[in-house]
Amino acid sequence: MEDVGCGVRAVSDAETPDESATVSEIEDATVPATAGPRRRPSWFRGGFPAVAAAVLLLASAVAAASVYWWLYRPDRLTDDAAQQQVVAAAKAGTEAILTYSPENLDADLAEARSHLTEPFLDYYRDFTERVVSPAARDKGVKTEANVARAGVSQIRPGRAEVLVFVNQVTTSKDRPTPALATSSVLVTLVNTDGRWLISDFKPI
Amino acid sequence: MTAREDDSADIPAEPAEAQEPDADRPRRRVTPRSAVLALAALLIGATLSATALMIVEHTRAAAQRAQDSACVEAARHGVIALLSIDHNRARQDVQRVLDLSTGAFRDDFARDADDFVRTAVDAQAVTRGSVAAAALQSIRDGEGVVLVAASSKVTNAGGARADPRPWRMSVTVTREGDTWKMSDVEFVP
Repeated sequence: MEDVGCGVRAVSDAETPDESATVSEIEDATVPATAGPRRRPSWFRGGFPAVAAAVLLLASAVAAASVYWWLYRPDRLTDDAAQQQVVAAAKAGTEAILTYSPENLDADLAEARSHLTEPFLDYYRDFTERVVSPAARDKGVKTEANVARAGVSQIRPGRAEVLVFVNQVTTSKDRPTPALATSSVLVTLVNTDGRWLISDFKPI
Repeated sequence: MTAREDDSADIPAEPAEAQEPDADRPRRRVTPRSAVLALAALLIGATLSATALMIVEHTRAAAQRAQDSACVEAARHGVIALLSIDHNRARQDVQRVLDLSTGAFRDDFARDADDFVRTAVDAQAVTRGSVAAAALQSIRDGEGVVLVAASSKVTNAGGARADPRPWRMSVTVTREGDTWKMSDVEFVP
């Protein structure tokens, strides 16, 4: 207190105009800052832009997330790359299902099963036990399939239908001369943990 | 001088304490607030830009899908027309095939059209085609290859019906203006 008094006095003695100007400047700066803009800004001038920014940020984030989830992501999951994967999986799976030989039967069937998922996997297990295995073991049926052509019939995220044209050559003990059979199959695939697996296999 | 220096050193020391917070307080308050606001504006801008880019990309993908299905539909209709010839209206049926075709296939078919009509009339046959499945094999630059699993059923003059005969076809479809037309038809053996 004393120091201040001294200081003020000394100043007022020496440079009165300058110092009073400084004081008034200080007061100008402090008074409006405390009384005027400072009380209002806290909830109007400062609050409004903050609230507006928060709302806009939230709205734009929601918009971006929605567009990503409902439009962009489904597009990516069905784009050219996905279609190529689906077709490749359908070809490999179809050839595996329709290729087996008596010498290598268990491995061939296991290989085929690795391309399948429910509900077709169940049907395939049953069918191979009842029909394929006895035919291969007893009649020496050996068959080899290759996919001549394949294309995407339908695709949506996680599920696709592929049309394949299959050529299959079959021999057996009774008919050692290779017999060619051609067919068309509509293969349904579902994406399971990043892999496209065959869930239905419909000759048409 | 020394006294004044001392004094002036004293004086600013006091006001400086009072002044600094006051002069800086608005600046210090505004600075973080405006920094946060600027960051928010930046984030909003970036988010909106990303959204706009995704929408542009989606529009492109949607147009591609529309094109894909138009291409497949054209092949489907073309194959049904090709496999559906009624001897009672053979000329119209052949004309319909021509309307759905273009390029080399149309030229070939137009050249053989009269023979085709005559054969249908002579055989008194009605063939009816149907498509079990169609799939896009590839598409690029206004030309697509569509695989079609079709079948045709023939009824002849005697009323005899043959079992449906399956066909595996590969149809090349070419864009002509707004429509897609068959430009090549190949039977896959």
